[in-house]
Amino acid sequence: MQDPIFAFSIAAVIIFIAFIADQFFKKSGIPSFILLIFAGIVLGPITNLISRNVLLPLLGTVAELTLMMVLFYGGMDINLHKLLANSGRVFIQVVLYVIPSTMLIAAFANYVLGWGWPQALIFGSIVGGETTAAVMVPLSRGLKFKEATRVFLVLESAMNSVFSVILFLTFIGFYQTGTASSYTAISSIVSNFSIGIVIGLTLSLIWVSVLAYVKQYKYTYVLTLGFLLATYVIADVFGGSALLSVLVFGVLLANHKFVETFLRRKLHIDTLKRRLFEFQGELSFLLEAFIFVFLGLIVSISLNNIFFGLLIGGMITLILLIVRGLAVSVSTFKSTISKDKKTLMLLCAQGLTPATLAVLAIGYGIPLANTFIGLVTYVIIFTNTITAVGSFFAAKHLSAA
Amino acid sequence: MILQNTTLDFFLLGASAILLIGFLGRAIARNTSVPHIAWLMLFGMLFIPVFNFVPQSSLLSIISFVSSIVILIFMFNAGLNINLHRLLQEASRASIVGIVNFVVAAVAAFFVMFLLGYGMILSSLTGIIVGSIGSTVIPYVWQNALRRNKNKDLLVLESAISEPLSIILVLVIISTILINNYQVSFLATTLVSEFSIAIVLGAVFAFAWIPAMSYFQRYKYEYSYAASLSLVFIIYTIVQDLGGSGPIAALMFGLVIANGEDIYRGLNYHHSHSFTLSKESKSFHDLITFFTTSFFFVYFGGLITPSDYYGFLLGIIIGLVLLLARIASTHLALFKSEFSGSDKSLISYMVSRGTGAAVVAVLPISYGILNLQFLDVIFMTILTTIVMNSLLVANYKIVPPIPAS
Repeated sequence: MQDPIFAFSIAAVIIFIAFIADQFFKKSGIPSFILLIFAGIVLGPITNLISRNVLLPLLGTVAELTLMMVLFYGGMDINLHKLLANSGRVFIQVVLYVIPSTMLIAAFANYVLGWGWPQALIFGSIVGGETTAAVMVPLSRGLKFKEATRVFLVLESAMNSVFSVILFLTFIGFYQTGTASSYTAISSIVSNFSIGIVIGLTLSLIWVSVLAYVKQYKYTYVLTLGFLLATYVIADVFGGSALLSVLVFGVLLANHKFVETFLRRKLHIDTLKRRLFEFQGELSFLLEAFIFVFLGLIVSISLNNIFFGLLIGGMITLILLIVRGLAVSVSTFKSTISKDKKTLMLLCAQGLTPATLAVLAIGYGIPLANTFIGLVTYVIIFTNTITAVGSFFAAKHLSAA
Repeated sequence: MILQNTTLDFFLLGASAILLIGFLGRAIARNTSVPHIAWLMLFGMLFIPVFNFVPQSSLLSIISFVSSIVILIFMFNAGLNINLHRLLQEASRASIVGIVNFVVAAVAAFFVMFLLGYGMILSSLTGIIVGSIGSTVIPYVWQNALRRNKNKDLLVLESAISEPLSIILVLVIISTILINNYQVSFLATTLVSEFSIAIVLGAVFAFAWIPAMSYFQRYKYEYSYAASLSLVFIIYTIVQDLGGSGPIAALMFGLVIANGEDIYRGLNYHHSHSFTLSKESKSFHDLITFFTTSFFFVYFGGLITPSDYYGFLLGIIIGLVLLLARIASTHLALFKSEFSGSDKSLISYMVSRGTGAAVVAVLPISYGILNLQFLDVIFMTILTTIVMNSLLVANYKIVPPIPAS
């Protein structure tokens, strides 16, 4: 990895694989990320061409950057009306999926694995209820879902990681002090969401107005990316959900006509917006390719406890699927997206949040944290496999329709 | 205390007197340009501290309750009266006028207090509290003089911007003092969190309520307008409990439901019926505001200490400084605008302070940050600005008074 030529070669291979995987997905319906994760597993754990330990310190930054770009791109493809119309259902989905799955997995860890409640709850919050935006955003676009379903998946993936992180921190507090406050957790979630939304909304409104004046200048796209990074940082500094602020930024930029309606004047930024969307698509594609390969590279599969991992990981995935099925049934009840509920249930891919939280658990000195990492790896692999199967059938179904 | 054996009669008479003065004050305002709040405050001062019909200590015991209710109603009504579309469209001019006038007035009042040896907190609070013109007072003062829509609109928008701004800034200062942690990062995070929670929850509840409200209005459910008010109380409580700012949530809720039609149209939400607040609802909220503010001004007058001559003198000085500051700042903000010299002078005379200043002045007392004498200064500042405004505008009577409808 020290050799730049070697790094460039790997990068070139990843980009080629990503391009081929994308074309393959369009033909077969098998999602590209499966091939990319597999490429990562080949490059890392199997051939050991790239060391996992070299990549681990970079993971956080690359993952955050990817999520930021992917959510911004996802936001730019969302209709504000559809977003508001579905946000209530998405909120129900997140609450009904994250909280019960966290609790059930904790109960499973406590009663079946014999772990103490603090560790069981921390583990539950790590693997309970996340769906990763890195998979959901490109997948929902690639599968050509109807817009309401796409909005549902993108928004869910942006919201559920906030719940997971706050539950994780609450249970860490419980482990450290012996007390946990549900009031503090609820208040933190509301505050986190609210700050993210308000900062995203305020800064995007400012930026949309500024764009109307600087649209003819060169490098406006780069300037927009700079402002996006600033939005992310500001939201994070003020204790808000930085990812949500980025999503809101993208949504408002895409729906600038809403601002025009109020100002009763045209901003004339449609051409610029189209260019931004194209550039952002290329950048997101590149970052997604690297992050999936990264995911494959960092998985840790040990032959010593492979049966334990497969069994427990499988059971946790089953719990997740059952809870997700029930949550989707309730949240899509009598809605236009209820026809897609089987697919929505299967699209449960986990990724960056469980991986990051599992690494954080080691930092907090939680007993069993190393076991967490192993089990999280299996859950990530299982949920991604189920998502691949689900998206394969969804692709067939959608093309037949 | 007199009338001790007939407490009920006493309070009923008191309540009827308040409402009657509220009405008569408005009637008198049509001809004299002296708004009702002046009469109500004077009535309160005579009724309570001068003749001691009710002990001042009993008023103080309910100060937190009264300030919460009044600020909630006031902010909700302020939100209902903001036309978002007009505000955004005419934002450039009105915002400049509103913000320049507010900042100059606040800084001027701050320096008066600070130079007289008062501390930073007291001087800042005074400056911000008396910084904005009164939205409920200005209409009574202008109706005899300002008949040009352009001038009216500017003043409506100016008060619509500056009065909530003044309340928001006072809430920021109070929160800062209560948090008692002056680390900038901690302070900024806490305040942003408080305001964000309020903005998001206020808007979310309003978005959900607009279609339901429209349905109730369309099918003429009796007293459906009362439901909006009850919802404000619920939102206020939830937001406060979750660590947000209740008054801001009330403002946001009012603002979104008052602009529901525009917002939903902007979102391309196709609906066959109107999402506009009905006239009945608007009248109901105006009536509630009339009741609440009438009682509040009497209450406010009741908290005054009649022998605090120094406080009154200070109030008069601040009132005079505010007029001078406004003359300068209005001419500055309207420099090279389409307004004529006469228009600019007239607008600069609109110095009256009103409900916003009185409501927000009670807040620091209710939190125990300042003592009761602070109200004497604000009371006299409000009275001085109203009297000066009425006298200056009297010379500008360019059309006959509006006939009673």
